[in-house]
Amino acid sequence: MTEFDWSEIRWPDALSPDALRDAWDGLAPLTQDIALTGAILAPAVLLGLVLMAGYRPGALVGAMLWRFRVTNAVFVALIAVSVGIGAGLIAQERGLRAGTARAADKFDLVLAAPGSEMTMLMAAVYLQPADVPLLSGAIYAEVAADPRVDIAAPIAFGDSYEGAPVVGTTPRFVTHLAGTLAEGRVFTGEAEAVVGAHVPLAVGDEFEPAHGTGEAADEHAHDDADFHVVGRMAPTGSPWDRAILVPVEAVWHVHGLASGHGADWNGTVGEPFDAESFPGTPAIIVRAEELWANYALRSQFTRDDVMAFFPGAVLGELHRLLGDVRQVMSLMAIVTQVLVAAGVLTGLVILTRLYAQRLALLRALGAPVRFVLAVVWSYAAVLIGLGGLLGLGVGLGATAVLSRIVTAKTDILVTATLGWGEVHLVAAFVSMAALLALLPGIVALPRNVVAALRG
Amino acid sequence: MGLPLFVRSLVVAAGGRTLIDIADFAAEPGACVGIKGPSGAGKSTFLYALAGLVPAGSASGTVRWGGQDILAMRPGARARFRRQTVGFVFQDFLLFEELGAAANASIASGFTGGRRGRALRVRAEERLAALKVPGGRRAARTFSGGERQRIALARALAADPAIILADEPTASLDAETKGALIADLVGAARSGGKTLVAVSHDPALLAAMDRVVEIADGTLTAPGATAPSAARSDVHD
Repeated sequence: MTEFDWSEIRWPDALSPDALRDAWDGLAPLTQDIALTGAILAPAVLLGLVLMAGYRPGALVGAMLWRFRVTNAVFVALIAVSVGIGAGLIAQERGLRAGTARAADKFDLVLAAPGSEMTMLMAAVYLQPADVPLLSGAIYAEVAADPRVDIAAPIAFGDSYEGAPVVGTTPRFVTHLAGTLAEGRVFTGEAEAVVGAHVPLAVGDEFEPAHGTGEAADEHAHDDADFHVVGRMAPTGSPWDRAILVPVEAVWHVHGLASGHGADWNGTVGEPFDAESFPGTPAIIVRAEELWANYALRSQFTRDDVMAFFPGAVLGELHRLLGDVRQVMSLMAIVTQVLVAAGVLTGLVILTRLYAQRLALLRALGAPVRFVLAVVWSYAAVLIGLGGLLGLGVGLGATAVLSRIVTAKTDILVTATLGWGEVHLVAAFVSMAALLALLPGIVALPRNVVAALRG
Repeated sequence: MGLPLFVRSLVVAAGGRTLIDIADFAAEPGACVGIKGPSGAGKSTFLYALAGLVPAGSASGTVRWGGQDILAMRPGARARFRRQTVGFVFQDFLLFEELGAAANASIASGFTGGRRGRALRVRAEERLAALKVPGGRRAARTFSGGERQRIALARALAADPAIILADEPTASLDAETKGALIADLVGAARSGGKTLVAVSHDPALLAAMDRVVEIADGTLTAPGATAPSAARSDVHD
């Protein structure tokens, strides 16, 4: 027997796989998503059409919905909560990824002492407390002098004010990070500060930073250092919204270090720095105008005494890990929904048994088996469909609440919303559960009409 | 117009026990036949067997309505036969309590499509009006017992069936409403020329029948059990 060669099939041009793929790719994304949702729901819709063709089960479905209204409401709520939380969590994970990527947007290349890129990413970009070695003035001078470099800003952290990290940097970096300030101006003197959008200090306020962060912070270590707020940044959607930016020279001074400038320094903060007087910095944020230059710089500054990394690349690694977590979360959401669906369908079996006498009555009156199935299936499908729709609402609410919580906890602006991915997930749940809803109907079919009529 | 009924060698068994064993029974088209007997004698089982409702395999013999042996039909055909030919009235009404009178009376329109379904709905409304049952969306559970049984009667008549089977239709009613229900039931059967078979203990209902047979221990014992000669000749065709 010869094997069939599929490649020899002569498809009509318009129906060839390539033509269909091209046609699909030519559709607008919204159209594709709507079509995909329809395709996912199609099996359930088809089943419903087959069951209900020529029948009008609406009145009886309404009667069942009303008769068991309290239990029905509980079932719908169970479905809605399980669907909503699942969709909300998955949307949240996507929102968190987008938020962390957006927060790292202004950080093209980070230079730090060799060690953990992840630790430095968390410290320099997300301002998480960390003890890290310092980079020398020579390294700073080397990168700052490179003609490909547009910005080379030292970042010095470790102090705080009422929980807000105090970060030493340069005026150019402030402008690079926040653009036009929402209020006031960028610092020009050592005792001036620019606050993040969410820092509870106003322009004109004065404050004294503590040494360290968190509960271990020493409130009185910098008693002589008073800063005057001269500007406020517009929101960046990053932890820098809760940071206080001061001249890096001031950070060095309050710690008893050199100013970073030569003996003839006139007090103007920011670049250029003097390599000999440069006390060291945990990280240098580097920006080059050309993309290729960033790669060249990373290569040049990856060696024994310094490491260079793209925050985006490290974040990509983290997101790949999160991607695995997302898959686990998706699986858990699906398993949870399947369990809830199984519970609800079991409940429906019990409920329809309570209705067995009326279903037997239908048979006694001459109703076809398909009609009885249509009644029970429609009843279950209405509960499942309502639960799915409400679940999208619960998901929207859960997403909004979770976004606020995560934003408040991390200062990373998370603006997660339900996307078509979640809609497809909910549609898949509704479709699958609606198909399984045929089971209560089959179980509810009276085997012995006379016995069922007698109750 | 009613259908003639011929029953022969009807045996219904369950759990190894014979519930009824009816050797011979017949009713003329349009006849009103009452069935009496002690509780547990098999009256209702006989009625359900006449409607083809006893489980397949538990009944043997012949139950012929006109030219059709309902026991020989496949389940789908039996359901169609009941839908088009039989109106059922039950002792405890068996209404959909959440639905209104009209929705209950026309419940079969849900599975009766097209013109026949529309006609059924119209007839249900007419029957309710004739039986003086208020329509509207008022739930059936809020009606009195007499009204609920009249709704059940309207439901049984909505498809204009040739046969009416009634199982203790007055058992749940008080004396006053019993009389009205009997008049409505028997009146509808006689005016429509329908064959009525009613199981009852109610002397008033039985008195309104053309004849009454008795079942005891699953077998016919009273006079009238024998089929009329015309019917007997039919059953042997």
